[in-house]
Amino acid sequence: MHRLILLLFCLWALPSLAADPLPVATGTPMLTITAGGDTHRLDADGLRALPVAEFVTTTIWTEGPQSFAGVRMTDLLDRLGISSGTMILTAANGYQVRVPVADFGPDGAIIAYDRNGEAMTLRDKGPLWLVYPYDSDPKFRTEIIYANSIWQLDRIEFAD
Amino acid sequence: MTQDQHSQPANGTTPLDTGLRAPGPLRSGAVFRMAILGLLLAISAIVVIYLLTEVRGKLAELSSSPQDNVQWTLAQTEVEFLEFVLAANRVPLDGSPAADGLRQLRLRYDILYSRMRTIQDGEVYRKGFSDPGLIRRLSLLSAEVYELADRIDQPNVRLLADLPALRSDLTKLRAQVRILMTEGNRALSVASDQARRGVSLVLTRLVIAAMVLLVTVATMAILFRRTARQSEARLRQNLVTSGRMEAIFATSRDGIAVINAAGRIITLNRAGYEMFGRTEADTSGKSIATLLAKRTDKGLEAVTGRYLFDTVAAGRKTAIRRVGLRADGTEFPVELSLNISTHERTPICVCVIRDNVHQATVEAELKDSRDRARAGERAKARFLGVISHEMRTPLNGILGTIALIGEDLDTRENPVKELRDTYLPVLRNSARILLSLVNDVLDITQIESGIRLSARPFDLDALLSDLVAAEQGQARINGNTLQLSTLTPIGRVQGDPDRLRQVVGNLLTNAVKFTRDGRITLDSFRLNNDIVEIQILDTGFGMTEQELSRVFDDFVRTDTAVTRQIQGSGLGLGIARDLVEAMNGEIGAESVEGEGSLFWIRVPLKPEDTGATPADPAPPLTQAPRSSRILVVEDNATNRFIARRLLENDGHRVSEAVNGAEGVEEAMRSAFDLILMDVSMPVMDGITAAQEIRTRPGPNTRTRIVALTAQVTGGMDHVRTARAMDAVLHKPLDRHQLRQQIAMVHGGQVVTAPAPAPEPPLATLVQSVDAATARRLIDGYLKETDEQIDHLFRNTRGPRPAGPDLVDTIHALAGAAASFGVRGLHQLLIRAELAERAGDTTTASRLIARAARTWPALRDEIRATRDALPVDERESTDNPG
Repeated sequence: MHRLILLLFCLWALPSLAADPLPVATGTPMLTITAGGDTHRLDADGLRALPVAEFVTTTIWTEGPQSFAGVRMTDLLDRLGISSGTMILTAANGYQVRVPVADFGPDGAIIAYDRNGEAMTLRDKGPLWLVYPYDSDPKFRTEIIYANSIWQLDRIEFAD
Repeated sequence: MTQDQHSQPANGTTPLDTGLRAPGPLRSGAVFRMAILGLLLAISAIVVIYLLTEVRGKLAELSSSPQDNVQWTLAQTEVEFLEFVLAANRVPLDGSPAADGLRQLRLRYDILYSRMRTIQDGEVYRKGFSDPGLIRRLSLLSAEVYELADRIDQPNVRLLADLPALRSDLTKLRAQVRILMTEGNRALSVASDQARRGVSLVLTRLVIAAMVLLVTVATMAILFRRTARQSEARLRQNLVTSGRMEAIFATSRDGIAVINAAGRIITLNRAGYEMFGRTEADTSGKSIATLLAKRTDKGLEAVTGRYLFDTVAAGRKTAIRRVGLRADGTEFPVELSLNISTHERTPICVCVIRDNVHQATVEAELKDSRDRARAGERAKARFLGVISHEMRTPLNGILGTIALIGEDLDTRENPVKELRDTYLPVLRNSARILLSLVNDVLDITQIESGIRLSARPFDLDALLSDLVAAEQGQARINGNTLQLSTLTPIGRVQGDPDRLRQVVGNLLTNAVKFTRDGRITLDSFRLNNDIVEIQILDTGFGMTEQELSRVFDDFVRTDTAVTRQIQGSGLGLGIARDLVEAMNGEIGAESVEGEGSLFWIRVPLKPEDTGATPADPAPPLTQAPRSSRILVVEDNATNRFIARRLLENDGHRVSEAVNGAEGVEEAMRSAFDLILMDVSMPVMDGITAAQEIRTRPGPNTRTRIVALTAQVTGGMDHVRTARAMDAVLHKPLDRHQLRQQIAMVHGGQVVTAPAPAPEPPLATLVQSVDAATARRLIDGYLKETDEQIDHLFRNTRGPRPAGPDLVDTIHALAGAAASFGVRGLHQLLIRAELAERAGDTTTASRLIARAARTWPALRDEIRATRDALPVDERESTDNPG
């Protein structure tokens, strides 16, 4: 029931949000998003201009709890006006994952740019890292989620 | 006492035990097995739970297993290293623009750098590269890669200059990377293999544990099932037993009470309620003391539950006699059977209560019938004693007389007169006494086979008057006055005159017999409309109280009768009693020894008030009826002869036939006034013959036919005889009865007259022969006794001569004394004979001496009687000749 109400609200809200465009890059682009023929390039300032999502969690690739800050994937999808299909994420090293758009939840993945309060560099899985709050729920501690956790994120595309 | 002993009584098992025994515990073997299995089950469950946890852990490990990831990472590292090398090689060294190439080189370095850090820092990779050698190699490689950072970060020009050296270093480094990758892969394979083997081991253990658990559970299930089946079977058996017990409990004729240890009644069955006159509400939960008590010296003592349990514990279980208490307060005897059982783990006492009242009644009945049987035995013994004794006297007389006749026939020239005058009267008298005895026996036999009363109107006063008249002669001889009280005439009544005559006649005869020189009064009066009382009062010998109590029993002879030699069968009063009872009357006697007796009867005799003048009764038959034609049908020649002589003496004309067929022929030929018909005959029996005569057209279809029978009780024949013929006469023929039958032919009415009573010997002798004969007989007797007494007296003073002569002489003399009515002498001689036979010679001698002393006086008396006889009287009614 609640979900239905939420869905209706979303449908109603979509046009207004979609009208809110993504910031346009002025510096070196960090992330290139290709959606429905449009290509959005986001630089560090553009990303930091979007609403910030933060959480602390451990990861299997790091040592000790890490605090991450970044853009929530659902926020990004809302701004893009995309609610279905498959997201294709590609890293600088060529690593690529395909994730159904519906799999992203409001409590789930963020595109992190800060780790422990500092901007991440390419030598340190930066500058962008798709991380999940692994500690918050066992559903985020699966092989698929680990595989989805792409670092050195470079491009996002969409496919049906 | 243990529970086991409760449920298994030592001395056998009663049905109640099996019914009320509580289900026993499971067998200990089963319990042991179940315990072992339970333990096994618990252990296997723990093991399984432990293994499951482990499996879960392993699975969790596998589910978050970074193995593949690690492997991919290793491969990716090599790829990224090669990309870096490729980028380094692509940078042109010929001076052409190299900025792009350098940027690519730096990007690939950064990617490699990031990868190396990830491998070094990542938790997942530390686990993946657990091999110390591998870790060392990795550290070395990482250090080499990190060291390159300074050279990569140099400005473009310097980096470009350094590029050839870098390329050569990278070529060296490549071999290291290759080794690391190979070893890493191998280590990963081993780890993966170990992990698989661990999972496999855990799973194998889990399977084993699960198998054990399964087997245990299955075994337990089987055991439980078996136990359940046993329990079910036992339950079913218990139900059946319990149902059976319920039925026994409900239908038992004995009361069954179940009592708990506190003595409270748990249940009581229906028979118990009935026995005690109580309801369920009265008894359930109440103390057993309300039902049972114990009789002690101090009165009734309540029976408690403790008492019952103690009684059983002491081994007493049956035949416990106590007192039952009914609801209405009455008491009755009970007999208890007890047993202890267990019910729902508590001891109960099952108490079977038998009402002993019924048993007491049965015992009393048994005792009564036993006593009656014994009384019958005694009566039989008395009968044999009395009859044989009483028969001996007349038989002795007959035998003695026959002996005398024999002698006379030899010695005398003309014995006929002697025979007729002397011996025939003695023979007749003796025979008559015998007949009287036999008649008594016949009477009682008839009575015992059923008394048939034929009620009709008759004149009671006339009947009593006749009886008195008939008894007068004998009364006179005994010196008695006999009178009939005529103060209250009763008149005609309804009843059986024949039976009444028999009873009163008997009582009257007795009174005359047992009275000497006294007075006898017959009195009658009406008690009420139904009942007439007749009293016979005498001033005779009387009886002792003991004699009085037995006087109506059969074959009882009083001491007086025995010692005074009063003839009789001892049956008269018994017959009288039976007859009176058959008439629904009462008979009784009062007596004072030495003063006299009073016999009374009270019988229902309703007055007959028809108002019509009854036909005048015919006068008693003292004369022969007028001459008649009579046919005698009889196969026995002697009987035929006797009948013919009797009838011809009375002036009748007699025809004879020897069997039924001949009789019928004779009856067809000529008419008769009376036909005497023997019942059992050859060729054709009397009944058939009588029917023929009645039905065939002839002159005698309506002639009176009288049956002659020797049978006392006839069964079928008896009924048939009564149907076919007009009357029945019993053999031997009695002249008096015969005359009555002939009179009925002419008068057409039943005329009864008293039968002559048996008379004492001397009186009979005197009456039945002519005076001259009597005188001669008396003379003979006196002469013989004179001689024999003297002879005896002399021979008994000393040692006895050899041989039985002496006893025989005493016996003969005693018999003669009896025949002539010399009672005093007879008594002495009888006693002497008995003493002599018993070997008591002293007593015998003394008695004979007394007899010899008393004889002269007795002889004088007899002589006086002889002298008083009329000189010329020659005829006697009893003398047919």
